[in-house]
Amino acid sequence: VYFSWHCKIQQGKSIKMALNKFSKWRFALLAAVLAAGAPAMAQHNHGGNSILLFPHLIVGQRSGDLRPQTASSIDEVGREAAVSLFVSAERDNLRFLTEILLSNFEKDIERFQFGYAFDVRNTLWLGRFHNPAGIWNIEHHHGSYLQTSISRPHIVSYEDGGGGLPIGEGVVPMHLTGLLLEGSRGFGAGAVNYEIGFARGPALGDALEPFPILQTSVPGKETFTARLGYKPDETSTTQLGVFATRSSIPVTNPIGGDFNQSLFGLYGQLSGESTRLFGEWFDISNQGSLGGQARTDKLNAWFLQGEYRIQEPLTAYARVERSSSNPGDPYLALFAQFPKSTNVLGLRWDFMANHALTLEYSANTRRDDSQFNQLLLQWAAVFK
Amino acid sequence: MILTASSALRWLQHSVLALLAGFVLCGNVLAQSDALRLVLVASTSSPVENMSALEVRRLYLGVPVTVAGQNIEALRYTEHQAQEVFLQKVLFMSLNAYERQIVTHTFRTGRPKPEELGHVAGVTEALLGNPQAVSYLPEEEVRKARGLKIVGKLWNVAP
Repeated sequence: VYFSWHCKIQQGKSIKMALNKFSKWRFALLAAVLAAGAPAMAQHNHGGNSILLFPHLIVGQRSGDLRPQTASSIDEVGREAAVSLFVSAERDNLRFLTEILLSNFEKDIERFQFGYAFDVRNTLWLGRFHNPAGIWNIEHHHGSYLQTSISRPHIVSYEDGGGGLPIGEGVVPMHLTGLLLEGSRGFGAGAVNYEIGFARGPALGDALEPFPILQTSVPGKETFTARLGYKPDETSTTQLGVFATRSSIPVTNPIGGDFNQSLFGLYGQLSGESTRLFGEWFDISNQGSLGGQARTDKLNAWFLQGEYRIQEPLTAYARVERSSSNPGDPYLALFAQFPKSTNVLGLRWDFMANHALTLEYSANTRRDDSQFNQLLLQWAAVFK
Repeated sequence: MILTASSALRWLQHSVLALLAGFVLCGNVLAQSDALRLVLVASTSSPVENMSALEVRRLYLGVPVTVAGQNIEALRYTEHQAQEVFLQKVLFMSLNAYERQIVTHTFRTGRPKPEELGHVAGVTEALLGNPQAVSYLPEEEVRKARGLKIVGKLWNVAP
């Protein structure tokens, strides 16, 4: 019953509709049940549970060409307050994990997975999971503290833009609901890891709308996703790999239509004692009809982020993002905030135990060549 | 001028004394650190007989480690000095970097983090209750405990 609430609090008339679907009391009850129930489930010699709480606060200021903001981006005042609750438990071969996000822009069950572990390395999951497209989306999830930067690269933005992403909305599926087989096999000091998923993907309404768990009225269609990676040393985060996702996306907004999105990509990460360099490259093809017009459009996008730990508590970082697309692409025309160029500079200060203060500046150029700059300050933490 | 010079002299004397006291205290702490012999321990009923530093590193960073077909679990002894030596000399990481890496691992996979225990008695009890668990402890503490065996030497510098 409780999982039929999928809610995005949006502006205007959507608020009323969203509130009808969602009760914050039920949501709080669910969170309490999960927090109290997981330890009880894990009272076993070979089991374990984890409860993590990731709060963050962002204040920001923009200058330049300021377009109307979406509900999920930083508002005109420039504030975002959010907390992500993560609960996991395992007993023998059975596993469970969930991640619930509460913010001043949205309340959502971001991940909700039941798993069966064939062995210590391989697990079959059923539920709502993050699309393993690349490295960013499955390393950080909605835990802002875990990512060095405040913002996510635009190409891996969440569908609704929330969770530490102050700009725009995602153009590729980041949340899927269905089956996910994931695992690894060790080779000497290294390992090959894989993920294969078959799931319901998003529909295209005002934005991409992920298929909500146990709410079958949303017309998500089949999505296939896979990722194959290699780590030369399992104790290091250095890795490289390939990934692909194919989604059939129905259009539910007045434009109408139905199209297939094919995505192929590469990712890599090089980690040193005080440095980290990582990036992802995406080749995306949208094929089908949008607004009664059959066409195929291509989007290429990549980002590269470098991090350098100046001293133990201070880390400087920079990120470059670029994308190229057809100027007349009707799909991308729905995402006015999606940039063709972004340069990010930031400084993170880790203090006390598991707290971080980050200052970030970015210069952005949209696809129509309009520009804006953004300055963000974030406090993020993890309580465990 | 005389008063000022006298005050300055007293200030200098106090500063020198404070510095000397600081050196003595620091030297004492460093000597304690050098004297610490850190070992990997398990219950005497554990299948683990010997574990290399590389395997310990893999285990504490969330990589599955099996011995005799059993998955080995890691326990963290969070007493300040022992933990610092373990992180710096065995995992080659700061506490912040380690915490971030294991939280990322848990957040991604749902697998539990190593259990944290602040007292030797708690570590001993947990090891005796779970033969698949290992932990690091100062060697002198292991000698006092019953039912534990040393399965690896992690840091061993004579004073």
